[in-house]
Amino acid sequence: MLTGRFYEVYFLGRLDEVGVEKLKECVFEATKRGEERVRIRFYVRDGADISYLDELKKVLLENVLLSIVVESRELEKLTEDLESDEGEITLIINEDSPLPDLTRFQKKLRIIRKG
Amino acid sequence: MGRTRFDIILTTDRSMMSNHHGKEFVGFMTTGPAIGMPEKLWMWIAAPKMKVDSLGRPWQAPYALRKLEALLQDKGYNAAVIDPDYVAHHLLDAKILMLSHHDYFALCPPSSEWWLITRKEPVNAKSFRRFMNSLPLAKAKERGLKIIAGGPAAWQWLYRLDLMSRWGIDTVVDGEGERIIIDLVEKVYSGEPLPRYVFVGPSDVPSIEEIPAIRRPSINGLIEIMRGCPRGCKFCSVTLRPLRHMPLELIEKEMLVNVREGVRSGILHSEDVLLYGAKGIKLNPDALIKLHQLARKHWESIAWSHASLAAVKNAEEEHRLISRLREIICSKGQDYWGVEVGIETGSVRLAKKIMPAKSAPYPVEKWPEVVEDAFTIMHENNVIPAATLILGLPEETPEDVVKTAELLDRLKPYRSLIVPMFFVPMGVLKNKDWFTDVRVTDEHVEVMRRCLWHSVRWAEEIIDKFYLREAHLSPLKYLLKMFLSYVKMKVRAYEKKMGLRPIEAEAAPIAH
Ligand code: SF4
Repeated sequence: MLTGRFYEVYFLGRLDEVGVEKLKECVFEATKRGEERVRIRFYVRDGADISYLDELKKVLLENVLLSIVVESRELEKLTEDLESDEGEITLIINEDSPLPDLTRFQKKLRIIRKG
Repeated sequence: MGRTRFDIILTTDRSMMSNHHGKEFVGFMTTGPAIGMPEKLWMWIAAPKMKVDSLGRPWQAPYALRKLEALLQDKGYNAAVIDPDYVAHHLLDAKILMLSHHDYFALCPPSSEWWLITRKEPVNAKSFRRFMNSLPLAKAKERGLKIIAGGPAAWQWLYRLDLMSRWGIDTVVDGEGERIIIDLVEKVYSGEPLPRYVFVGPSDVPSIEEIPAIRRPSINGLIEIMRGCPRGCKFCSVTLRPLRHMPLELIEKEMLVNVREGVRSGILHSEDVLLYGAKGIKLNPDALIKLHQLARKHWESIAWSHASLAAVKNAEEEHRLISRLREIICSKGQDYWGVEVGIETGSVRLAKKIMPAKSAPYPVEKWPEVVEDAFTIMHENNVIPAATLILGLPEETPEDVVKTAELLDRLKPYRSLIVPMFFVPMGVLKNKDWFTDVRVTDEHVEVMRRCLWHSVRWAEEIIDKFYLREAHLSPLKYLLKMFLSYVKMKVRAYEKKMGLRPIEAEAAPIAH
């Protein structure tokens, strides 16, 4: 299952109500497109931090149709992951802190920003 | 004890790793707190220890664990189900600990309801916590142990993130595990990071060919005959998964696994046993007869996990099928069988909203009649149902609850247990004292009282005449009867204190 095709969502920043809404929109979008799986990667500073799951349960427990895989990733892995992921990626940026240069990934990135 | 090492350990706590004295229904006591007796005694009644071999592998184990064990062994992994008392012994050698549970934190009915009524944490959650706290987890995690938690209650970890962190749960898997689990195990073996949460959607459930046969006995010989349900009730996730009927060859193989190791009785498991081999809800009498003949050939006694009331009525009225199955089941000394059924509501208005197809092929307007007819058929054929009701659904009005109370009055003459389940909205569960936030109305109290007196009255007869007749179960029978007397005394006192009109006498069975 994990090697199958996924609708990829990367999430940066703190997951708050706005972030939850954005994620719900992504899940809806994936359903509309006829996708079967969504992978949500949370880029976190502390790998042991799973507090985002508290808010994320609003997304997870509302979904019944798609497979959803949730991963915690170290922030430093972001560009590496963008590099290795071949398909389209939705990147939700829910924070103001500076980010690495993402211009070379423009073609495969759909960026959704805070606010 | 031997020092054979297992790379993958599958387990759960004592409330699940028990055959409940061979009486599946007694297992329901694990969903409550100890009432009227010390917890140790309560646990002995509800979940006595399981016999184990020299390595701590249990004689019988929950079916879901057995399925994963078989899957992993078929793929060449060194995996075993281990009894909770022996997990600590193996843990420091293991790479992966896999957990499963029906109700890790007692947040599902009926545990949540016991908790709500008694304000005491049920023993299943306490037992699970005790078990986890008893393990040398910190040391094992330091050595690289990965922990994967799954089972029907996997979602509950989202409400106990503190414990997920404290015990170092790496991944939670919600949904049918056959496909995902091998991917996860491969990740561990190749040193890749695991996902934190996986929900397995309908397109990733295994096909029949991917479902392995268990290799060791399941609790009380339970065997799955199908997965999924076509009725589409609004509150139920099972219905979203595709229907899969297990072939008779697979079923027989699993029956023999059990019988060979001395588990000579069994439970046919499905969300609706009567839909085995059916096309949608169109019954397949031939498939059912063959299935039961097979069970009769191998088992000393047969039980069903669940059946729908509409299918019970339809089976008897169109095919005389309950009577025909009775002829097969009630032989070799067996004279009754048990099953769980869902009434859910007595209100046609609410039924239309939440379960419009539950009464099919009968119109939903006839739901109360379908329920009563099915109860009559079961009573006449010695099928003993444990029925559930759902109270507190968001769409429910006081009139709906009154309709349910009226239906309960009509069900008095039929041998059965009726258990009300309280719907607890997910939002409420995030508070530790969630049970103080649930609104229980006077109408709910009336329904709960009716259920209680109905079930207590019938339970006395069921225990005496059907359920616990074997001589070696006399102590259990005695304790259960004491428990029933204690409950009656408590409820009488409560009714008096609250100035409620006593309804105990009205609950007496009027037909046999
Ligand atoms: S009949 Fe039972 S299993 Fe089937 S959809 Fe309804 S609640 Fe779920």
